[in-house]
Order: sequence, then structure tokens, then C-alpha cells
Amino acid sequence: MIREKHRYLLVESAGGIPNDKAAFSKALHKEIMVCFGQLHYFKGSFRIMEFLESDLFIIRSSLAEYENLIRAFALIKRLGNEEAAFYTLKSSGTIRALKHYLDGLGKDRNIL
Amino acid sequence: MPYYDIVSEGCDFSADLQRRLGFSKIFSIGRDITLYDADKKAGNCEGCIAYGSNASNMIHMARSGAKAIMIKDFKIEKKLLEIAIDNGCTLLVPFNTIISAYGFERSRNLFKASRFLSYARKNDAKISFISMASSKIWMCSYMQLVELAKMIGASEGEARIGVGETTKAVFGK
Repeated sequence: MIREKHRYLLVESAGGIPNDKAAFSKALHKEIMVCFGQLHYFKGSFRIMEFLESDLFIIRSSLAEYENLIRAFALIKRLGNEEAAFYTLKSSGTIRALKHYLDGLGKDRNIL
Repeated sequence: MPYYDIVSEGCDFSADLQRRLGFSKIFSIGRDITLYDADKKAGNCEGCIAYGSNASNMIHMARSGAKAIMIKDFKIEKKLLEIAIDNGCTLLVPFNTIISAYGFERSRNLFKASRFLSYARKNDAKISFISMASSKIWMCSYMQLVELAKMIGASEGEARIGVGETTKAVFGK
């Protein structure tokens, strides 16, 4: 059996992430499904891996669908009844690389 | 590769956000670039972006030195395209019409944008992909702009050049 390859995306939520992570995750998956359609959604094997800061999270996607996920994040502007925006900051094959990138970004943030 | 974007007048963003989104610079209409509405009146718009759907006014503006043209509704006439190419005008593809629409309207806009891009590519026009966001909510990172460009039919190289070098060549100082 061939192991499925994944890609991880570092995503920033413009409106921040609410305390109820489960509800946020559910609403986000619902919106992603609207963008992908029921026939394509299952191929993505999307999963939020980690919430990093108050407005950042890492989401996993299959290698085949990660480009569509980036597009979907550009198109999602509403979560439930609230306005939302998601910026894809970086994609990588490992979570560690994303955290390393985030560390660099943090240093730059301090400089600015 | 450095990446650039253009946003609408009044779009407020910080230098920190610009950096996080992966752009070397985000040009703002009104502050860095002038947008000239071709539907109201044809005039001399040297160095500006001509925006509108009125073909005769747009032709006049392309001839009078507009750096770039942005077509309303992605409907471009052959004559306008030829004149724009002859005068070195860049064609701007704004994604705000795609991002801000929803459902069937978004699908329709995607179809129009892909037809527009295909026609422009066939005629070897210079193309630049921009977000034209009106606020922070509608802004995109450089990765999202590249992927949206690929979604409407650009190749990986064209998308990256369109988000990067072309915008810089036209508006960078």
C-alpha cells in the first residue's frame, strides 16, 4: 500500500481564531467543502494539525489537493455569520519547517 | 522572486501585513498609482491605469500613454487589445470580482476571466495579476494570487511573472 503524501499550510486568520476551536474547525471544514464540492472534498484529507498563535494555524492537505486548498482559502470570506479572511503564508512538507519559518517571521515582526 | 500587488483606494494595511503576505511592495491606488475611469471621460492618462468598458475611450487612453488597462467585466475588443499591445500597455487581471462574488456569479466571473486570459495569452499581451482589494478582508497572499492565476489558466511561470516582474516593471520606481 502506498503511503499518502501530505502538504502542510501555515494559514493566518485575519479575524483571529475564537476560543471554541472545535466550532471554528467545523465551520472552516464546511466552507472548504462548499468550495471543493462533495465529490472532491474527500480527496483532500484536510485536518487542522495545530493552532499556533491567536491567529495562526497549520492545516494538512493531500499533496494532490493542496493548491486547490490555497485557492479555497482565498475565496472563503465568511465563516458562519461572521466575516473572515484567510491568508496562506507558507506551504511545506513538514510542520517543523513551518514553525521554523514562523520563528523567522517573528524576528522580522520585532524588527518592524 | 519579489512579488507585488495593487489594492484599491482606501485599503488600509500595515507594512507588517505586507511582509507576512510575501509582497515586496503593495501599490495603492490614489497613493502610488492613479486610476482613470474611462467610462466617464476619455483624457490624457499618461502613467495611469485606465479602467472601464467603453472601448473607444480605452483606445484613446491606451494611445495617450496609459501604463496599464483594466477591463470592466473582462470583455475586451480585438482592436483595443491590439492597440494596447502596440503601445506597451499591460493588461491587469483583478481578482476582486472573483473573490467578492459567490456561487453562480463567481463561476461566471471565473469563466470570463479565463476566456480573457486565454485571449490575451494568444496575442502575447503582457499580463499582471492583482488583488485590487478594497479592504484587508479581500487581500490575498502572494501564494494565493499565484494559485488564483493558475486556476484561470496561467502556467506556473506566467503566474509568478504576472504577480512579480510585470507589476514591478510597470509601476516600480
